Amino acid sequence: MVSHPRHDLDDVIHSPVRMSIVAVLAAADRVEFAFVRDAVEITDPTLSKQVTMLEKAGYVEVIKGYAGKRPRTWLKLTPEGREAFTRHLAALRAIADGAGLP
Amino acid sequence: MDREEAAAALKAAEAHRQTVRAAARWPVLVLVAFGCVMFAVDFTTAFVSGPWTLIPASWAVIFAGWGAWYAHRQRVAPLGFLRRYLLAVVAGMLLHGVYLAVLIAAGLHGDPLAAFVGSLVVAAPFFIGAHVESRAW
Repeated sequence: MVSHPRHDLDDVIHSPVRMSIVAVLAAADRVEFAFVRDAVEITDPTLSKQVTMLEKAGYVEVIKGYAGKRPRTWLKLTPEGREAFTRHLAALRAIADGAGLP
Repeated sequence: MDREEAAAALKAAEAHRQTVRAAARWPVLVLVAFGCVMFAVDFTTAFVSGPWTLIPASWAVIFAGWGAWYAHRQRVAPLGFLRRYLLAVVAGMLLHGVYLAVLIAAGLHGDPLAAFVGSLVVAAPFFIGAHVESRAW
């Protein structure tokens, strides 16, 4: 029987770096790539790699555009990603509150 | 994962939310500026006629262009901002139409008190929107 809230944790979001990325994206409609990089304190290649994984899971959408002549990349949480993050947070809260303990 | 790790993860998520929140306050400035511009446009409109009305109207057009440019340059787009912004714009435009209709129908063109009160009413949705936006988080 599966009852401990850790079973509700999302495998994709569970990684600390991806959790941070998703937490940043969850607080807004869309966020510029460089802002996420600075907020999570990681390098461009690391963020690209993690975003690719989140994109493959269907949690993040990458939007390319321009600000004037400068190319810019935006990251946006998909509805599935937002739902997964909400579930993940609920599981974390349940664990922090001691749910599932004997 | 134990309780302490879960609590630490939740704390980190909240810290990230606060970081994004700090970068997402710009709509308040846009809405306050829009309110001030609409007040100036409607107040001035009460004292001009004919082709001169194009001057205050051009302020609104210039501001709309600036607002779109400024919003596009921001690094964070707040959740639901566009919906709240459009609500303020639609309400402001409807009130603008009512204001002009009342000015003409009641013969209040050139009346400073009517211009002041009317302009304030037209600008109100933007100031209310800015207030709501500042408390949206």
